[in-house]
Amino acid sequence: MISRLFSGPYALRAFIVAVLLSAALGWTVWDQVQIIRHGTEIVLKTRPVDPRSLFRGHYARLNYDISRIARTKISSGGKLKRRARVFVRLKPGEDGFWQVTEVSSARLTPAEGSVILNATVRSVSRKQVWLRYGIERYFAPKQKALGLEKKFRDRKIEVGVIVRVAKYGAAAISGLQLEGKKVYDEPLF
Amino acid sequence: MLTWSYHKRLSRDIERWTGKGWLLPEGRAAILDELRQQRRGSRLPAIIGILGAVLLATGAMTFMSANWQEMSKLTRLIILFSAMWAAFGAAVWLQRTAHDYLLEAMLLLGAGMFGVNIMLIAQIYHIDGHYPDALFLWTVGALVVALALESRAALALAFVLMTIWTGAEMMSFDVRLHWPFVPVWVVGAAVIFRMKWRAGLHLATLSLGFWGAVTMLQLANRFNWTDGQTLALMALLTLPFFMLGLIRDAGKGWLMGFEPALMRYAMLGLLTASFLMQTDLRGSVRLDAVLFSLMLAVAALSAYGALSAYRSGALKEMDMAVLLGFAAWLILFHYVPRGLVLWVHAPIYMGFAIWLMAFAQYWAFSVLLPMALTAFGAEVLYIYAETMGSLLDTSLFFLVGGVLLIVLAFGLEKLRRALSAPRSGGEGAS
Repeated sequence: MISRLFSGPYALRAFIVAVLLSAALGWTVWDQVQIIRHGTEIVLKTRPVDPRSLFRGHYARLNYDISRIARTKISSGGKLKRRARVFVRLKPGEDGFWQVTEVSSARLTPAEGSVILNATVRSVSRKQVWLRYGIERYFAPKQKALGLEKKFRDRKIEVGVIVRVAKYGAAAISGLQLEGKKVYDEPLF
Repeated sequence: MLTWSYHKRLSRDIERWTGKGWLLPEGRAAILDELRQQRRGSRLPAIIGILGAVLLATGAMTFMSANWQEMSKLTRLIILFSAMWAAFGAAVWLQRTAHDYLLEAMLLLGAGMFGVNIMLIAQIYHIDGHYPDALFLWTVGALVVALALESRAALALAFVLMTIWTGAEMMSFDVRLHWPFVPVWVVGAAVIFRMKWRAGLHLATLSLGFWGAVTMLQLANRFNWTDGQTLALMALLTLPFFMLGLIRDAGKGWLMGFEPALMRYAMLGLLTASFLMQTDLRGSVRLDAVLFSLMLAVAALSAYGALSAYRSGALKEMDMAVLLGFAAWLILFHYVPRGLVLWVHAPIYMGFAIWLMAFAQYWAFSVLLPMALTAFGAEVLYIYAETMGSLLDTSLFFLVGGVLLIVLAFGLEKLRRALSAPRSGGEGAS
């Protein structure tokens, strides 16, 4: 296939290019669908920051409680650098939202009743570490994004994001929860 | 295919030859007409087509962003994939029916739709990853299109994307040495050579220059180099590229006639950086071991280049001495007492500019001449501002400055005319 990419007939080369590019995109879609379909469901408490996107429509930026972690919870590799990869263990809390129980720069062993999320260090201070999980934006139509933003800001209702976590630690948003009730379920397709 | 600069030069020459009676008016009209035909016939539809492709890709992006609720995820995915396939399908049809002028536009649209799809799939599934990774993936896609389907437009897109990618990594995420850029750039450059696309080397040079400049700034931040030290290193780094252009030009090498342009970029960088380094208010600060070793290594590489250029007949002893002397000055600059920096640097810089005028004239590198004149003029103004600005009030400063600029412009034009007087020898630059 590779040699045909450079020397075959033009139509065949164009076909191979389109297949390769589609495969790269298709893999991303497939990965997300698999996580949403088979991942473990957890609910994360969130607060918002500005919604804004020039090219990708409107979105609410999500600021999870698990995004900011006290350094005392970091079990190994105490010297964390920006952009370092870390592993975060979550367990369900009494309020129904999942909480951080352990953070490590070394891979964590799976345990019953917990999930392990992959994260990247966004910034580090003396007492706290800010992490990102790749699920910090919720894209929605303009009215919905602005409505969510208003509800978040008013803090009159408790907002949870339903997330599915794959065995290898990747996460995908699968729905929204308002005051403990699921109000939106992300369709696979 | 005619380049714009060649067209302009030829038109000027035709007028001159007609004025001198060497060319008959009928011949003049016929040549100008053919020039117009060639330019109009070869470029305009292709350029308009490419602009159309850019608008289509932008339109697709905004359309999909604006139509959230009206479509299911599956419908959106089908539209996104179909649009990309349709662009490549149209390219095949255009290639078969010999509509080459729109072929590039469709390939650019295909590569553009790949990027649009990356962004919109991230939107559909709420993915908020490390965004430079998306730019990298888009760059790879554009490179695949360029390589497999020999598309210059896709290759140009790839260079723009890889530059934004490396800029985002270094400036937004504070990556100090973004090495992954280098192999990607090398692949892009290899595709340029495979396609024998000389104009593409401009993009490659600008892209590498951007990466180099930002890398220098990041290193300066890491090692606490002063602005003057960083600019001196940047200036020094341009010298090996200037030598490369010289050697290849003498040997009619593999740079596909890009040598004069490479020399022009290198000299522009050298003159700008070495001019700006004197404005560092901290003046000369001694070099640390890392910077000194680095500068010495680059100077040695420049010396090797100068020697090779001398052996290939592209440099005379005097030229070699001036270039290497200036390289040495870029290192020694940091050991001059602070109060003397201007008084030592100014004559050396102006002397270098005068040498460059002579060099440009002797070797018929006409594009270097205005650069040398500008550098000389800028240094004169800088000395004036540094020495007189503190003694006169602001209005007088601007009055005298205005008169000085007019006199300088008059003097420089006279000098330019004197230096540009017809002489034997070909045009060295393209």
